[in-house]
Amino acid sequence: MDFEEYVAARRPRLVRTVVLLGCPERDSEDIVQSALAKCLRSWRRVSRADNPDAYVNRVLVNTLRDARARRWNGEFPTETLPEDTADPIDLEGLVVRRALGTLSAEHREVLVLRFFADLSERQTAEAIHVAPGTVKSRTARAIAALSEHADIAGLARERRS
Amino acid sequence: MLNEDQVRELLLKAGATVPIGAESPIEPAPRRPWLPIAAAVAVAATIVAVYVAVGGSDDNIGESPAPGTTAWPPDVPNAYHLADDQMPLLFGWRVEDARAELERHGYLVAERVDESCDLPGRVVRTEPDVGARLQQGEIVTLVTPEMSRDAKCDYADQRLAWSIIDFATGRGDAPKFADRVDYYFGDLEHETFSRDEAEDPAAWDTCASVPERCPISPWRQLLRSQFALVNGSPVMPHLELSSTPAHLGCHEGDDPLDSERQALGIVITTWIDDFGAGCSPSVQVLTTDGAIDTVVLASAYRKAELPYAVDVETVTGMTEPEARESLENQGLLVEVLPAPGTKTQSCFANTPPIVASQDPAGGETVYAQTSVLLAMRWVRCGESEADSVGPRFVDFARMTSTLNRTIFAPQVDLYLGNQLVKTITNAQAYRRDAWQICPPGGGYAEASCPFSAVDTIKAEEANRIVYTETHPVLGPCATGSRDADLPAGLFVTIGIAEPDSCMNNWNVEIYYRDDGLISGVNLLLGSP
Repeated sequence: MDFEEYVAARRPRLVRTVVLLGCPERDSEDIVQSALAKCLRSWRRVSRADNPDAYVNRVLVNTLRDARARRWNGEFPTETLPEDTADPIDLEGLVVRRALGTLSAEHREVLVLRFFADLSERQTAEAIHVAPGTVKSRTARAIAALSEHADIAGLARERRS
Repeated sequence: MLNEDQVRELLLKAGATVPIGAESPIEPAPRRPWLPIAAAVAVAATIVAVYVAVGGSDDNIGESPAPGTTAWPPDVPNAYHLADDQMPLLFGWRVEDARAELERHGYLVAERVDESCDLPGRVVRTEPDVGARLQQGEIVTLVTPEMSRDAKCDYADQRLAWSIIDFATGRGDAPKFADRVDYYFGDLEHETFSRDEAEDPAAWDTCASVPERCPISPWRQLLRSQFALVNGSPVMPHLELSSTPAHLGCHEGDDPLDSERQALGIVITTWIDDFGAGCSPSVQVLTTDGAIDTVVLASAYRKAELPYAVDVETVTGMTEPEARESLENQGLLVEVLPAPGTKTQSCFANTPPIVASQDPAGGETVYAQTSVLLAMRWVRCGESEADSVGPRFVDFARMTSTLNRTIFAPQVDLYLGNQLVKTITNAQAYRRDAWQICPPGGGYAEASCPFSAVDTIKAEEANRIVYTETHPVLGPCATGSRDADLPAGLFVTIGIAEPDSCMNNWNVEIYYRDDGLISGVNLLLGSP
């Protein structure tokens, strides 16, 4: 897959991934742009990787961490609804985003990379520079933390009723 | 409890709430995003380019592309940084460009020709030589080649050689590449590039065959060979042609070049060569119909000896032996500026000077064999704690350096949230699991026990660490310390510059004795 095709196909998911990882929406496009620009410089290597998505997500996480260390000092705002979208807002989705925002960065990373970016445990481990076993245990704790969040628990109750 | 499928569904819903803007163009990779190259080349670098001696007209003899957008020189070794009042390196510059550059600095420029078969119009020598101190209004002579009446010079060879050098040094566009370019390096590792890839110097920086230790690209090798140093002083290299690189007598291993094809070698070197001290890397190219189809890097070197890219370790706060070991293990060279003055006001007995700064900085990507310049300074009482004890503990926690002496007192008290949890010996302190503690009687309910000061610091490798000599403020993140139960005496507080959330905030207070050995560690977490 050449670079342009990859960007066209994956960019929306990458933007969403980086927002779910805690990046403010206003900065998400820049982060993805920076990460893709880094990948472009080594695109031959990226495209030859067993899983280019894993490689790009690894670069994305590193770019996000670097940017966070430089610029950010807060969480993303989720109290207000996005104004510039014509699509109906999924309030359930916003509840989940808010719940994610209360998790630790470590927990948020494993959940988003494993279940939104669809990385394997090994790929997630490479992306966040920890052992695969750590991803496994951290994921279990993260799911527990998310499940215990009051809003998520409320959602689950609503679904059951 | 949610199962994995339910989590996946929830995250998809969350992701769907993120509005996606119109695609903005990805800025193309910099045309020549050269890595910093800072090698102090001990002897002259020799570049051998062997190519098929095929046609090509003699049109435009002497023309070189004007310097492009890349700053010139694009990257220079730190030992080669020349001041404004020093003669710049103008090797291979078009004489008009060199004249303009010198006049811009206020020098008067004269020209002289020497008979040789070098490409006319190119600067082959300057008087005074590169690096010499100049005064405003001083006359500088540019020496350019002129063909002798008795000689027959083959400028086709010269032009190809210069097109390669211009490409390598950022002064010209790519030379003519074939549709497929085979690239050999080390012990005949092999990569293949399309023409488009070959024309991008950055593409040569990656190699699928040995991605972890991808060696220096042939173009960077050519670039760095420009900055030859002899006995630490810059020297002007020169260009030679030869029919074969064999005369160098130092190349080993199989030769991937097709011996059936007629070849001609180009050598860039200095007048002072010392092959006995080690053969310099070489670049060889083969062409067909004027297009480069084969490039060979450094047949004189085995793969393991080829320079490769490394991320420089951060060694500030370390002693010189520690810094040396850390950097030399990475294949880097170390130069040390001694600490100025004498050791005074030190709180600690027998405390050696520590690294105050380094160039290149920690985290920068350079090639192995690059020199890292360390500026040392004595540890001084009153400022030493934050500069020495704190970074030592962070290095220990991150396992970024090998400790060659103990940093812990015989017993180390571990505190969590200002409360003493347990005491470990200094032998136990070097086992990471000994640092795991849980709060006595509860607390920190929202995060899961056990906690560890060393793991907390290790987990924050992406963030900048800050050191203070005050207790953290007791604020909404509840990371502040109280006097109760805490030891009196010297301490340094470690934290991150910009915590991304209150819950993720933390501080570690390091208590230490007069001799600098750590006697207590208090972990304060943002989660109340």
